[in-house]
Amino acid sequence: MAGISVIGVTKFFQDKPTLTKITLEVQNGEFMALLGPSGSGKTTLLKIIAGLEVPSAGRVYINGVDVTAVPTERRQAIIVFQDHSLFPHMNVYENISFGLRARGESRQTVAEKVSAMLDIIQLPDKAQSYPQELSGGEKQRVALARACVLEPSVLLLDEPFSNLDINLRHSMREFVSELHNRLKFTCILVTHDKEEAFLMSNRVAVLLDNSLEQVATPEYLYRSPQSLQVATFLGERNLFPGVVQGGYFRSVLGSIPCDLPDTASAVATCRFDQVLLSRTVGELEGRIIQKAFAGRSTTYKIELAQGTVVTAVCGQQQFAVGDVVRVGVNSGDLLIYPA
Amino acid sequence: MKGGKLTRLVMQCALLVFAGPLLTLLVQAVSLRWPFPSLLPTVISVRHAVNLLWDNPRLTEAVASSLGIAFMTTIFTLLLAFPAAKALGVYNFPGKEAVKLLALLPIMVPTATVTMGLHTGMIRMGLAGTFVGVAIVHTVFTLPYALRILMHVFELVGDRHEQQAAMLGASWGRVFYRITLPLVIPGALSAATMSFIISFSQYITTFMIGGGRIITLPLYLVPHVQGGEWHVASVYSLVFVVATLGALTLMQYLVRRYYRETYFLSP
Repeated sequence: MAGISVIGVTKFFQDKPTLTKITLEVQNGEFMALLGPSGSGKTTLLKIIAGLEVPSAGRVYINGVDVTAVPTERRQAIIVFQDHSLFPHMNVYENISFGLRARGESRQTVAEKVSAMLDIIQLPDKAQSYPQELSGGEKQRVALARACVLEPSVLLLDEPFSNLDINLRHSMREFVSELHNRLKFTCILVTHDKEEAFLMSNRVAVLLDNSLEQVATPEYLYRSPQSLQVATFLGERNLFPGVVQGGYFRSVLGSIPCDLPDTASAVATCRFDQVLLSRTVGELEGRIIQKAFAGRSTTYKIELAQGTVVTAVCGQQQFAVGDVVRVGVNSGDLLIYPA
Repeated sequence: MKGGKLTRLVMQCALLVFAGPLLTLLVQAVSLRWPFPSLLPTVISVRHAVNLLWDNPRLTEAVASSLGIAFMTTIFTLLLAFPAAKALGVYNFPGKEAVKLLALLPIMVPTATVTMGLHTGMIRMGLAGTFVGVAIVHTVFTLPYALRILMHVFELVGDRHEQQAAMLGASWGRVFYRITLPLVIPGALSAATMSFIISFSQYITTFMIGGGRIITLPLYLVPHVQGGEWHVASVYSLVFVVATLGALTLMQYLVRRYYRETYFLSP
């Protein structure tokens, strides 16, 4: 059974569409990342699932039950926001116990569950601290604990790590993944960070211009973006404009067989790491114009003889700026889209 | 060091501004005779001042009326201002700015003009000359101030904590009592204080709507000021100051106690 089903959800704000006919299914216990740029409607979709926004059209199901008209407090879908939204007038214990007390749990049960959750988030000695006395990471852990202690059927994370520094972000990602493995809730993580989406999720849904473009596993999405928009958004790809004539895509790369109908404008793409650089072997000639060393890999910008600039990421080979190199791309690595 | 000196100077000036008039009132209240051009009173009598206060049922009645009407007005104001301020501070809707301006109208138009119009309405409804009628009309003048204060508080607080509480399963009532109220109570206290003081010092509105049947402290005090009875007026003015301060201190104490008992905060 699907943990979350969103069917044909559309949302208008002052006659402008924020979401257009979104249909998405998240399996029970699945961790899905909702990836998209700012303003693509990611947070609005989460709010619609949690009941904080009413869709202009479409239905929302949680565990097979239509919750479109069910009030927020009865949905068991909790959003953990980027800004934590901890209650500033309550200490950590009171924050975490808030939902349990609202549910009418006995004092002893509340104490046991909160204590266990404080151990899980590794903050047992902070029970009496107030939110303003906590660090950014501690606040985020308390916000997660406050939601997880209720064992919700659905947990929605709205860019929860974007305010944290890089080290803390890594440890929080691991922490949330561990928490998910342990508690097995259905989860949607909203993010604009591709690495975060790929690292944490079972599947990634790409939301662009208020529409759902593709839902796939991280590996599949990385290798085979289904449209030029998705490929461009995922980035780290070279774009080679050209035309399709008689079953061949013609560009600076030469003629490559393709199954697109004849079109005046098409684009072939390949990832930076799929560009082959060599001093001797390769169809094209170019000159290194920029080099960026990043430890495990080096990124080169190469200007081809035709004027096109190509980016390549190499692990082993080392070139210097100004070197003349041969550039090659396996035709099997190229994805061709109508422009 | 320089900053410290400046702060001290500002504090001393502030003390002078507040203490100066109060001191003059105190001296005036005990001076039976203070003819021009004497720098100090020529006859001082505390007993006379005490006599004015002691066994004066009209004064007691005026203080009780003032306090009663001011409390009633404060309650009416908060009941109306709370939902209105939340709507204006948190939500967006067409015509919001026009509503904000409309809410300020009663204090932009002269008091007498508004009160005359309201008087006719109060007579029709049978509320002229009653405590409730006077409190309702006072509310018209206190509401814009309370609304402004609470609206800014709601703009700052927003509704994200309320949304979070609802997602955690809290009912509407629980969200209001456990989240909304504690977060806005400092602002609500400011709004209540402002409403109380404005209502307590109303003269023209009480005079017109009360029709002489409702005598509050300002109505009892003003004839003595107009008649040049400075000594009597000063004694009653001190009663005015003490009554206002007492009521406000009580309000503040109750709110602090609420916070301490509910959230175990240090006082």
